[in-house]
Amino acid sequence: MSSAIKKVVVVGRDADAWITALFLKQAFLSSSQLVDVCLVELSSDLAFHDFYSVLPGHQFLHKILGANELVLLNRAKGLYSFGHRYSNWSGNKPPFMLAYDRYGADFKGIDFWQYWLKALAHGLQVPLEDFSLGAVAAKAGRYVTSGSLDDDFSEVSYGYNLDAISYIKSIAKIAIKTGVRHSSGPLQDVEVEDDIIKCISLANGQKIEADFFIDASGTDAALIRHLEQDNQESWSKYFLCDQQLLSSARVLTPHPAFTQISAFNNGWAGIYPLKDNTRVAISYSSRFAESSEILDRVSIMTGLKLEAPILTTHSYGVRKKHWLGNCLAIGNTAVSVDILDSAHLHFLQVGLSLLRNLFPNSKNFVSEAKLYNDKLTKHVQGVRDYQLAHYYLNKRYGESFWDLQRSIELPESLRSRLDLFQQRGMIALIEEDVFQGSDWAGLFIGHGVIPKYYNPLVHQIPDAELMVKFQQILAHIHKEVTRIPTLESQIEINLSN
Amino acid sequence: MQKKSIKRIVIVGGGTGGWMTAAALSKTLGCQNYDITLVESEQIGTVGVGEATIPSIFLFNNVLGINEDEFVKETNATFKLGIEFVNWRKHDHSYFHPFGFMGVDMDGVAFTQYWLRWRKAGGNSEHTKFNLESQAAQARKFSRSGHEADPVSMPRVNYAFHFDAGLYAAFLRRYSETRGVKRVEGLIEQVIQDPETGYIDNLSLKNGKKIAGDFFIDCSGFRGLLIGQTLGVGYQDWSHWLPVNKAVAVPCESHGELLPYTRSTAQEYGWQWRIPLQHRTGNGYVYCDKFIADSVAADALMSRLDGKALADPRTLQFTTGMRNHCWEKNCVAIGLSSGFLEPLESTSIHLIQVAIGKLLGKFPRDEMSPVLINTFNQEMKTEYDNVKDFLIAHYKVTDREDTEFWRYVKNMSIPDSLQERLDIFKLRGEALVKQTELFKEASWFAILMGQGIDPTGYHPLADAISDDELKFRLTKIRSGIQNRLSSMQLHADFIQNNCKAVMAKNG
Repeated sequence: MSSAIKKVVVVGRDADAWITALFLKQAFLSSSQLVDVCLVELSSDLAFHDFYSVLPGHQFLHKILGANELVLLNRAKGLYSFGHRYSNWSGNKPPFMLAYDRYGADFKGIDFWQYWLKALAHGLQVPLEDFSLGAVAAKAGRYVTSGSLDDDFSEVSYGYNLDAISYIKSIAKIAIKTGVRHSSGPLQDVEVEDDIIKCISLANGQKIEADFFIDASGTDAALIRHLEQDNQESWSKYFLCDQQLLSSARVLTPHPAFTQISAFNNGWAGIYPLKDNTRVAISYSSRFAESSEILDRVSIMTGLKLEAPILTTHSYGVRKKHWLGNCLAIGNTAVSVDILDSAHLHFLQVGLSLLRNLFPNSKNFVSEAKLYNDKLTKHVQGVRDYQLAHYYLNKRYGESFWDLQRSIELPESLRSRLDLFQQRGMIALIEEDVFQGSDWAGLFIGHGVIPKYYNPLVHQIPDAELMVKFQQILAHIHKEVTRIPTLESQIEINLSN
Repeated sequence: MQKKSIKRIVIVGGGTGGWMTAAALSKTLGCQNYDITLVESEQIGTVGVGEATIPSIFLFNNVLGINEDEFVKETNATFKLGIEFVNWRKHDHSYFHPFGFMGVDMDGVAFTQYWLRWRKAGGNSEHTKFNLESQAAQARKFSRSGHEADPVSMPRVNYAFHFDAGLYAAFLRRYSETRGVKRVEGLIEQVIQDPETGYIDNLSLKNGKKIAGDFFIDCSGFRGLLIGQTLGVGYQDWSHWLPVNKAVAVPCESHGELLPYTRSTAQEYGWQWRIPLQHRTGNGYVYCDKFIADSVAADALMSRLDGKALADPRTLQFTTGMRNHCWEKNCVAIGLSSGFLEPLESTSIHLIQVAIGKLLGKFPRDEMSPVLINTFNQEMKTEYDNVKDFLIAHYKVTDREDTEFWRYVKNMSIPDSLQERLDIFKLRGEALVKQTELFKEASWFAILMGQGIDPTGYHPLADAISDDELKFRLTKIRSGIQNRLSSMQLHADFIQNNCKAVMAKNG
């Protein structure tokens, strides 16, 4: 085909740029359609404390990238994270764990938490998370993969926390080795003709033409801003934490198997364990506090001495359209979300797999672009809602920041999801939802949303029988968790090179 | 000589060896059919200065049916998970010789072989990480384990005791006397032999008493009153291999956390022990008086205590070695009278109980069969020989050459049996230990690695499993150790909760 895409140029920096370039190169390595992938690297935004906290889907991405997980983890001083533990979000309620696993077993095809809600109404004292193998294992400091378990009771998985600079160094190395052509910015000029980028020129005088351009430059939007008008949707009315403090602290031993998210009066602090140290990210609102008082408070709360904190500002929002003409905005260029729930690299991955599926076979991109934009927008909306729910459902009464977060007007998508859950404990999912039913139910229940009614079909199982089933699940989890290896031993044996 | 059935058993000496023997005989032979007498004199001190044991003590305690907590309370005992060797390889270096196992042997190949393979491939966890007792010692923890079948998910805790030897003897004395052992107080003036056979017939005491017997057990200590002085059995001197010949001992006040292990610190001319008891700490400097004067050794010891001294230092003299044979005519030597191998690996009590066990196994009905006697003597010699080689290795394999003493031991010639062992270990990390030996592969591995032999290769069979499988198994073993470790209490707390001595007793 004469009109096929022969050359793609990625302009950007750090994870978005390197992963995109490597991803495309790998995707076309074994294809008869030769696509030249060229990366124009802009100066890095990464600083010493930067880290990537990623969802389990990142394991899959590594496979596509042809990257060995253990090698990458070793190089990036990274660790597995089996979920997030939220503490202090709801008054005196104990912390809760949102692990990457489901709850219990879905007897008769009905979501387990429905049975749990019924038992709760009858006086059950056991929290929902105790029925999740992943959550119990994470709290017990275990390392578990679903492949190492004998049955399919659990779908446990893990994400990672990675040191950003060393991680990107490793990815870049693989990318170069795989054949990504690399030149360095800065960008001088972008030539646009009929809403199509014709050519870019670099400060060193080099001119680069291509059939397709990917903007991975982040908030600069170095390419796509030349093609758009009124393409921004801001979320600042939803997300009030406009300040972010990043810092490092001593290593935690034994290493926690999860990421801890602790709320305080003006925001929250995330504890991201790495192998040799701990990264701490603090999100707060400049309307209510100064950075110095925040640091003191978080130091006291976490018991960690926070080294050389770096303050940045953060704005939340999304492009209305990510694919314009022959240019695609990816990752942080497309959407700037909260770092809560380790979702900030997720859109890079979603965008890349959408792009792979919709990779243009002609130079007329209109229908692909439309589908891409629709789908990504739905993905983004689901994640934004999930993150927003944490803030909205807080029960820290009498604190201005949190009171304000509770009073925001929810986007319709979240409003209806919450209403449905409150009414009957149900989660209706769409294809583009990243977080699954058990993630949403865990989130709502964790923050103290107890539905008015549960699914009447749970009465199919008599109470006595249900009680036995519950006990069997708890015993099974206990047995498995004692049997599986500790995270510490996994680190010692496999991550100590 | 007419066949006279053996009824009257006389034990000479009331130290650790004497009362262990009395207790074991009273329990197994019993005092209904046998007349068991122990002769001791309060004028003769015992050697026991605070004893450390090895796990084989359980066999003995089990035979006696001793309640362990009672025993610990009565003897101011603490628990012992192994020995820390400080400065033995070189200054500012220490390693641990743990009880128990190194990892879990797999498919007939010792775990240490897999560890060597893994390390060669870049793994960098110390081998001690795969031994529970080392890890627990480091964390100052102790608890007893149950009897789970699966050592991978939860390894058992192997341990022994430190106790006050005087209190231990007193404890066993009560035990023995309750079961009918007669204790006779008095100094032995003369040992009367049958003029024809040379068999010991009776003992005459200074206080005029006469004790006749059919069978005599010599627990009289270094002097070997019956076996040596009376029956003239000679002594093999091993001091060219184990040159230390004196020990100066002193108890001091407990200081710091209660450690669940013995510490052995190499010194200029020997080494110093530190044995924690509930109420005090036992200390001693074992040295060779060819290189250092007694008073200098005593001063060195007194300046290296970690608490206030509770007594004046006491010096003991000995010659490392063993009797040419331990059973002669109707007399068996048990304990120091049979030989002494210095306390470096806490083997004295073990050798006593081994001798008791072997004696009971071969106990004569009437006549002294030469077959029984020869077998016993041969077996005891093997026991001593094995322990001897193990001890010599501690001195021979070292980087130290900073004093004349260390230069001597590093360069001395050693038994061929040991030389072969060191050679094969260097080649493939195994000591080719025979089943009957007291110190197993794990002990040789700990000591030889600790003293500085790093094997160049390993057993080819350890390559049989895949890298992933190996790593998975290593992870499981580490997890089991971490599981067990997190379930254990601090040593001091365990004693407080289970077996605290009623009051501080000094034996």
